[in-house]
Amino acid sequence: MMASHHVWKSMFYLWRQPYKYYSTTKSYWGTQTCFSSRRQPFCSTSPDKTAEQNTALNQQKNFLASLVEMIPAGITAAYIHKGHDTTHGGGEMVLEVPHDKTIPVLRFLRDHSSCLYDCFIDCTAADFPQKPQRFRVVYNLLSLKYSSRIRVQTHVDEVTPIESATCLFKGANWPEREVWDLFGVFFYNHPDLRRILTDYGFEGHPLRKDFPLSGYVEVRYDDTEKRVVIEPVEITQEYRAFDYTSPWEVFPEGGNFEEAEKLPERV
Amino acid sequence: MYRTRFLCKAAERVFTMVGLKPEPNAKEILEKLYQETLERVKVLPERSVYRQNVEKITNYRWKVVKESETVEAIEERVGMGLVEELIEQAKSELELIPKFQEWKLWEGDPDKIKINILD
Repeated sequence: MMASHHVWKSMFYLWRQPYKYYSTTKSYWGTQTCFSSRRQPFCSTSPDKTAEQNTALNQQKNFLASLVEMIPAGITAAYIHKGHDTTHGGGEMVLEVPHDKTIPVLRFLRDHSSCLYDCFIDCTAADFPQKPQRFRVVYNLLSLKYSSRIRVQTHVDEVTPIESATCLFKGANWPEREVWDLFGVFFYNHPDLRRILTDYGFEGHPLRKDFPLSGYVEVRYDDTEKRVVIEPVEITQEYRAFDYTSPWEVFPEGGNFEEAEKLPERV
Repeated sequence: MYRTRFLCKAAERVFTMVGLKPEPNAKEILEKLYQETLERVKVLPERSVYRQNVEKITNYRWKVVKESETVEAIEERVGMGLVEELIEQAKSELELIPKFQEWKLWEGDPDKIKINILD
């Protein structure tokens, strides 16, 4: 009888569990040592909201400072993008990493007890053609224990490979395939790096800034050949003439803003 | 009879994580892991902040494990989740130390890196 009563009580507790777990963390504000004081999740309800907003940003600053102290060889820069997290007053933490140090830093963030960023969210890239290292490859991570997100960035050009994060996070498989397909950033040690979004036999990397909006090829069904054929793209619109003496500032091509100073003044 | 008794003992704890198996010898395993961590971290240089932090964390948790009698007391004091999760964290920390030494992440000047707050 006793045994079944315990089982019944624990079943009731199991049903209630998420709220019980969060309610006990309020007492840990001042009593924890070193990095476990970050255990307070940001969604706690405290009456003094401004004080909490300040400390959220300070917590992130202190955390980044500790990271910089622990792994200075793996970081080239660290930022906090303030103002994006309006509910809790913190910001988004960003770590700049050299391109050969991505795996060490990601491993450290995943395994170390005060970081525990074990949830892989996304891997993306952005193209900045005016820079010599034009692609910025971005990894987003989430720590479930500390309710915290972090971004790890590298800058590479077209020919530099990066080690794939699939050895650490299985969820990095398809996002890295997407970055390869759309930008051309090669990931070595990836188990299966091939195209994922473009058509079979497609040439080029579409999300680069020098790839035109309508692309180079178009497909149509050919009745005589009875299959889909790939042909160079023809825009069947009449050529539109623009009035270049517009009252608004004309931006030069390619984002080359040094040239903008040489443009004639508005009349 | 022994199986139901084991199940009842396991069911006495409030288990907040789906999929984790309850560990009956949690205290012994934790003590062994923390001892091993403290041994292994001696390979890293003294002045590296990572070594100091690992020693601080491991010493604190080891103290808590030694002083507490029940597993619930350990979970309350450390505040980092169930003891099974603590075991996982200790294991990953242990595996990180030789990798850290191989990659030599402590080299470099931390003063050169500034933390900028951008709007």
